[in-house]
Amino acid sequence: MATVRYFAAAAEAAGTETEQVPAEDLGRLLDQLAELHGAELARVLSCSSVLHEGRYVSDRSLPLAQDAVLDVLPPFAGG
Amino acid sequence: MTPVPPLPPLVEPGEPALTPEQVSRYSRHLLVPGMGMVAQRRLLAARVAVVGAGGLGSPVLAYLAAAGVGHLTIIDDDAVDATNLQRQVIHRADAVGVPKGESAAAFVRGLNPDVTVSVRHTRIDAGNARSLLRGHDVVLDGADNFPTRYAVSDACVALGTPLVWAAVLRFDAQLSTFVPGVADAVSLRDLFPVAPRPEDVPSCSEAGVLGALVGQVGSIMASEVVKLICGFGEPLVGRVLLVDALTQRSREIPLRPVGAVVEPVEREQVREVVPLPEVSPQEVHDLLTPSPAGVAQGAAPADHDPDALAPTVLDVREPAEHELGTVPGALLVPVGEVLSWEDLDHHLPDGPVVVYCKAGPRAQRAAAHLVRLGRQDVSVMTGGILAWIEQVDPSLPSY
Repeated sequence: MATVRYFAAAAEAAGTETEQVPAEDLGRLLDQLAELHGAELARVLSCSSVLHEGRYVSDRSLPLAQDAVLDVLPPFAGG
Repeated sequence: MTPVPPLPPLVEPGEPALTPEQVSRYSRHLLVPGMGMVAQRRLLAARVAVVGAGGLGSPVLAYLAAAGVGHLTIIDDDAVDATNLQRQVIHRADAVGVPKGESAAAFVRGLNPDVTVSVRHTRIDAGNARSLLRGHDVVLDGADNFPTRYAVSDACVALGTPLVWAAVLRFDAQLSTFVPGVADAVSLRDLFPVAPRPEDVPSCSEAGVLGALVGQVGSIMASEVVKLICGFGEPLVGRVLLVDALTQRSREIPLRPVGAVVEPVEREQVREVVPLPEVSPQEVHDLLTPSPAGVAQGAAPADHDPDALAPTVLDVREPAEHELGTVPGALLVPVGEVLSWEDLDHHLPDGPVVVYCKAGPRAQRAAAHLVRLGRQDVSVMTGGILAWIEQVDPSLPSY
């Protein structure tokens, strides 16, 4: 079960700050998240940074361990 | 997460020793364990650059000036606007229209005569960032857009200068301290390696921001700078702090260097370019004004000239923006909701559609989505409500 932590607009779109989702790789995880939460989260995911154990990832074939932790950070730049 | 030990102090203590007035002024810092006389002399010898004298820049400048940071360089190309006063607390109501750097410098001078200030009334970019930031011990980024933020981050990496970085929107903030040269050093390029499309980055002027949140976050930035200059505590290095003012919870996540060069190929593929016709606010106004024949909106007879058919005006801003003033009769559907539509069923009346937002990017996005769904006759009102206010209805408040 990968743990996904959502922040800002991603948390709003997912309706939760964290959840556990079974997925073998990044691609399947992202597809599942979009399916679970709908178009708005899919949109936020498409422009967010996804960090895996603190490192930016985009390769959908990246295998995910049982205890993988992923963070979803939407970009914003207000100052 | 392994604690990062304190980094060596960034600044050597300056001469001479503190005057009795300075001992008195800075006494509450002198009493703090780990600070003291030497740390205060480091602060007085420090040179700090602050990018953006806005929401984050305000508390940053106030606390760094009060702490006696010897020299502050303020870089901002903007002028104080009435909409800034809700959160940019160093600017006074009578400074509206004055360059922000000048207004901020006046505040700093009034607060602490120990601090010298220089103002750069210029927009920082990849071409000038290094020369503007060179010669500073630490840089703070409180800019309001990604291109500036990348330019600042890249220049700090090139110069080897630590950067305290933060961004805010609505109730949320992200913060980190990027220190080049430490093990596993990271920069903004490791957090957001792919430059977001402008329309994917909501700005405070579109989405709003809680005023006190920028005070909270800017104060954390100022604390980071004092810690770095004096060399105590555990800096926010290799971690990103995420603040949610709505729940008043802070979380932190690790940040490690991006392994390989990131190719934004996958995302490029979905960037469809849909050419969209534009109409000026004046044309929209004319289309909405009933003709002598009394054509009602969307109900023109079939043989009527389609050019005269009143369009459905779609406002894709947020409800709070809509409340500030709208094109008469506009239908409010925030851009996020439009983008979530998977078909055209029953969402909009028949006939032409004119989409607008504050200035254009969100309208472009929503209109492109409608076209992708198969909607005919979709156009964008050029320049959004700001252009409408300027050209058609100056009685509405600009924001």
